[in-house]
Amino acid sequence: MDKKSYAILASSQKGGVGKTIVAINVTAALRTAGYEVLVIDTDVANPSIGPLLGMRETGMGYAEVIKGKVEVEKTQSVFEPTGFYFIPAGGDGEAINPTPDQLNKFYAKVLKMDFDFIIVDTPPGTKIDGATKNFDEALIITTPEETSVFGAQKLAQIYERSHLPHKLVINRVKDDKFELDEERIEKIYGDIAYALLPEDRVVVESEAKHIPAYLLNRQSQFALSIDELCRAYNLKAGEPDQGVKKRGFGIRRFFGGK
Amino acid sequence: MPGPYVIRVSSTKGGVGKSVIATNLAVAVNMYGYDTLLIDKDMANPSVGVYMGLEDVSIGLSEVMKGKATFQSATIPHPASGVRVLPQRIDTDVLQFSPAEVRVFGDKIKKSDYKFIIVDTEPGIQYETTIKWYDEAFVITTPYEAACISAIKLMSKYGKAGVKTTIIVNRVENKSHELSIKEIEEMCEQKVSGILKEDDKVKVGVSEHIPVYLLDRKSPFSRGIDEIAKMLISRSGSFGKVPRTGGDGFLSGIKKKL
Repeated sequence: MDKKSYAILASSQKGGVGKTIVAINVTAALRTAGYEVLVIDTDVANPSIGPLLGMRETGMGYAEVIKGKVEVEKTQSVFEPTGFYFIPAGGDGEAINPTPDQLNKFYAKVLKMDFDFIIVDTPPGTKIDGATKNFDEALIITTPEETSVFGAQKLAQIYERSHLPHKLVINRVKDDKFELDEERIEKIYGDIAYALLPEDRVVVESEAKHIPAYLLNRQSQFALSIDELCRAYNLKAGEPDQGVKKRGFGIRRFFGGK
Repeated sequence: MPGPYVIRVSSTKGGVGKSVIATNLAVAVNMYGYDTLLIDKDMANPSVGVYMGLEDVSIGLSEVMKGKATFQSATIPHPASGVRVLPQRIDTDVLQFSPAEVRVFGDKIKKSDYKFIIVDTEPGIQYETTIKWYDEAFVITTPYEAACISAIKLMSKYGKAGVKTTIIVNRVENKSHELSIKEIEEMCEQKVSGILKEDDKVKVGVSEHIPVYLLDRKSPFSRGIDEIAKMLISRSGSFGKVPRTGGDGFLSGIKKKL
C-alpha cells in the first residue's frame, strides 16, 4: 500500500481562535484510534504546541530544518504516554518566511516519514502558495465571532485559488445570542461547516495541565466533538472518505464554477 | 500648534483584544473633547469598521495609500461618538506599500487637525516601515508567560526604533494560573500602564457593533479604558479642552498641575 501520509493543514486567518488546540486534539484523537501521527509546529514567532504539551522548546525544530541546519528526523520527539510525535517550531521567535522551494523540500521529507497522519499547525494568516500541493486538506478554524468568520472567508478564497480542499471548523461555540449563528457563518464561508467545537472548561484545564483536552477527559463535550471531526479520517489511512471530497467540490461550484 | 499625537496599537499575537482596545480608546479620548481619528491598518483581519458598525465600506486605508481615493473621502464620522474613522475594506488584500506611499500618507496625517490618531495594526513583530508615523506604541498582551515573552520582543524592536512603548494587559481575570502584574513588570522591566479586566460586556458590544465604552461606561473594561484615555491625554501634552461629557474632576486636576 502507498504509505504516503495524509497531510492536514490546521489554519486560521485570525489569531486566538484555538487553532493549535484543535491541531493537538485532532492529533491526540487519531493517535488514540491507533494511527501513527506527527504534529508539526510551524509558528516560529508564537510557538504554542511545546508549551501546551509541557515540552520546553529544545532549540532545534522546523525553523532549523528549513534552513538546512539539521535533519528533520533529529527534531522529532514523542509525547508520552500516548505516543504521538511532535516537531517543535524551533527558531528564535522571529517569523521565518520560507520560499515555496524550501517548503516543498521540507514536506517532501516529512511525508516520507512513515506516519499515517501529519498535522501541521501554521501561524495565523499564512499563505502557503506554492506548497499547498503537499496537503490533502486544510482545516480553517474560526470562532463564531464576526471578524473571525470574515477571516475564514478570506482564507477559503485563498485556498480555492490553490485548489486546496478546505473544511470549516467553528471553535468555542457557546450558542449565546452574541455570536453569529451557524446559518449566518455558513453564508459568509460559502459552504456548510464541517465541525462545531463547544467552548469547554476542559480546554482551560488542559492548558494548565499540559495534556490535550481529548486525553484529559474523553467524555467531555469538546472531546466528543473532536471525535465527530475525526470520523472521516478514521478509516484506513490513504482512503479518505469520499463524502469529504464531494464537499470540497461543492465549494468550488459555489465560488464561480472553476 | 503641535500636530496629532499618533499611537500604534499593537500586539504580537492575534486574539488579545487589540482592535477592541483601539476602537474603545478612540471613542473615550474623543469624548473627552480631543478630536480623534481611528485608522484600521490591519489588512489581514480588518475589524475596526465592524466594531464601529461601519463595515460595508468600499474604500479604505489601502485605497488611500495607493492613491485610489482621497484621505477625506475615505474618512467616516462615527455618529454616536464623533470619532472619525478610516477603516479598511473587509476584502482588502494584504498589500505592500512603497516607502513613498508610506511617507506621503504619514505626511497627510501629521498635517491633519486631529489631536490624536489611533492606528490599529496587524499582530506580529515584522519590521514596520511605517514606524516614523508614531509617537508612541501600545503593546497589548494578556497575563500569560508566552504572550509576555513575545511582547518583550516587540518592545525591544520599538526601543531600537526610538518609539516610546506602553504596556497594556488585557483580559485580566486574576486567576491563579495568570501572571500577576508585578510578575509581568519584572519580565518586561517596565511598569504596566493599563490593566483591562475580562468583561462579558465586550462581546455584547462586538455583537451589536457598538463600542462597549458607549454601551456601558461603568463596565469594568470601560473603566479600564477610561484610565488609559486619561493617561494618554495627560501624557501627550494636550491640555485645556472642554470635555464632551461632564468632567469628573480629572481636567481640573490637570489644570492645577500646570
